[in-house]
Amino acid sequence: MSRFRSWGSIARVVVGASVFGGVTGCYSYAYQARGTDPDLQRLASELKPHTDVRWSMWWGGHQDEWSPVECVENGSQKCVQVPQCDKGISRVEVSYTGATFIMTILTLGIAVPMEVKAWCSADSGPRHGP
Amino acid sequence: MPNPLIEETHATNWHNWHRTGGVGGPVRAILKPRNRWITGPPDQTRWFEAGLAGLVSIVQRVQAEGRRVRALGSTWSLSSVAYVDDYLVDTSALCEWTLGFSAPMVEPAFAAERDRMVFAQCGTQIRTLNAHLEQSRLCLPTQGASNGQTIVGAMSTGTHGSARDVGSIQDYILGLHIVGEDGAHHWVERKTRPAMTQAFADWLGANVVRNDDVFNAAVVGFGSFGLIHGVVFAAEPVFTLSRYVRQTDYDDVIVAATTLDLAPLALPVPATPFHFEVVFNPYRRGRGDKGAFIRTYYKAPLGQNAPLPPPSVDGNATIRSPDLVNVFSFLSDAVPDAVPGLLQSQLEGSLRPTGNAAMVTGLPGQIFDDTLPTNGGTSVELGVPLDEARTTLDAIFRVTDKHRFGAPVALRYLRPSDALLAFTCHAPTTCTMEIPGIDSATAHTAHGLLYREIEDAGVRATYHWGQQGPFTAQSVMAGYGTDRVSRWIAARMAFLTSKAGRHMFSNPMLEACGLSV
Repeated sequence: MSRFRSWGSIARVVVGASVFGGVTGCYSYAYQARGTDPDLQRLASELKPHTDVRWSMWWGGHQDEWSPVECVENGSQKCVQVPQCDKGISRVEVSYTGATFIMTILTLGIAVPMEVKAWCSADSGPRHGP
Repeated sequence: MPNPLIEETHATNWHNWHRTGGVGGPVRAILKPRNRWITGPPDQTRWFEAGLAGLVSIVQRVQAEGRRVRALGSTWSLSSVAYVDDYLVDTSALCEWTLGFSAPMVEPAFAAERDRMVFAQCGTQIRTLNAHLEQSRLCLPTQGASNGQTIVGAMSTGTHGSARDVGSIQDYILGLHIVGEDGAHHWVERKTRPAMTQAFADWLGANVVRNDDVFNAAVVGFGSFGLIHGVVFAAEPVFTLSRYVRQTDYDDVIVAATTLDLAPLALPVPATPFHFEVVFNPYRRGRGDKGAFIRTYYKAPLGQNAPLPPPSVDGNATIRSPDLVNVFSFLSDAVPDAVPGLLQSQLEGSLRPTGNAAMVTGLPGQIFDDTLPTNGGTSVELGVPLDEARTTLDAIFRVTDKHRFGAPVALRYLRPSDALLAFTCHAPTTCTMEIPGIDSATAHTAHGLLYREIEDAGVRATYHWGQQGPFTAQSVMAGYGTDRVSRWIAARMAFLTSKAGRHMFSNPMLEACGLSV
């Protein structure tokens, strides 16, 4: 009977830790660039961010830089490389994923996933009209 | 011609910026054209060509597949006006614009304005136009309460402020560049007030359509005439707005709010304000409750050599979590008695009465500044003729008295729009009543009660296309009348001549409104 109670306690601890650990997947940090004078409002961004899950490895000992280009099919050409943004980045958001907490525990911090979102700027000064 | 670059996201879900419940759903694909060819950027003198070719190619593809397509702006609409489950076009990368035209491009009647005339692509955001126009000592004639909408999205749904003499955004638009069926594209403007010459249409490579009804239908066409590539409008010489906010009692303002006789208010400046607005807390209407707020903006030209007002943003700005809105939502459902007090404190915090202190002055881009997604925000907004404002307000209060939901009522005033289905179409003045709030079960029930109570009151209510509303054929006909509705439908049939073409640019909301003929 006492064995069942202790198994029950362990199960509750595991479930509780999983729930709280999973909730950390909502943690996020964002940087938002501001536009030009005289308003300094938040810089216009495109609707949808470019998103990827990146891995921090070996307690930060392995540098991870995300600097992607897109690969687009053009007729017979399988891959024409194009920039992801025409006007730079206006907003970056880094967040834990649902697996960040559990991977940190399971790998002792050797491999930790983070999600990065980058929004292309949609800000543009005027051109001369025709 | 090279292939335009179009990013595609297949079998995805779409929701609006505010994540309003019931707005959006699964879509076949979201297509995002960019201002470049796959092989590189376009020629700088014809910088728009790749983006335009992208829109043309999308229409041709959708038509060949017999599917439907709608364009997205900044997706700020709180209704399903932009949604269809086939293809959505993300226009946010089409954000280039020009300022000034050479003489051969504009009609002689607009010669004096040509240096401040703008051609903006559909995805150009209000905040972008504000910031860069102000650097050139120019301003938008009017805008909504914030700055993140795209110019075409805001125009297409009838976005407005409370600039009574100017009207809404669509009221200063001079022409539309629309990609219609078969991918043919047209420069659409009024026959009675053409702004651009054949040379401009030739620069775009567009057919010219000069027709008042087609223009007045398409300018508030909520995506139903095709994919709008760009618009032309004239900016104004730069001006400032000075804000005055008074907190007062319902009894002290109700007559002015429903007649626009402002004399009894003894406002600090005798001139009629550029912007006049009244906000009520429906649960604080007693004497001494201080549940009414008058907000005015006074417009003044900025002298030729006067410096632009400096920015006044918080340099270390951090934002509250939008999830707090959900807490409010929960409270309004679980503890309705908390609603009046919470609403009063929220109104005092956001409207910030100026009292007798000096007015707050800034450029329009500094006054109507950033807002953040509400993560579940919703709103109902209707327009009625000013002489029906009191009856309508009483109907709204009958609902809020019986059914507590966290919703202030904001009244604004606009001249009637020429756009056939602009919800601000009522002459001589449209009084708009906005009831924003949080998307809770209580709010859903209250909205249904509001629609019925307003219908029973017999007022000619029209509903903002970008907010919640009854949106049935019956409600559209009752609000706009047979003449406006039938002219809108006829103009759409004249512009999109085939049934398949009209189906391509329709969606369930258009069908529910009886407009997808």
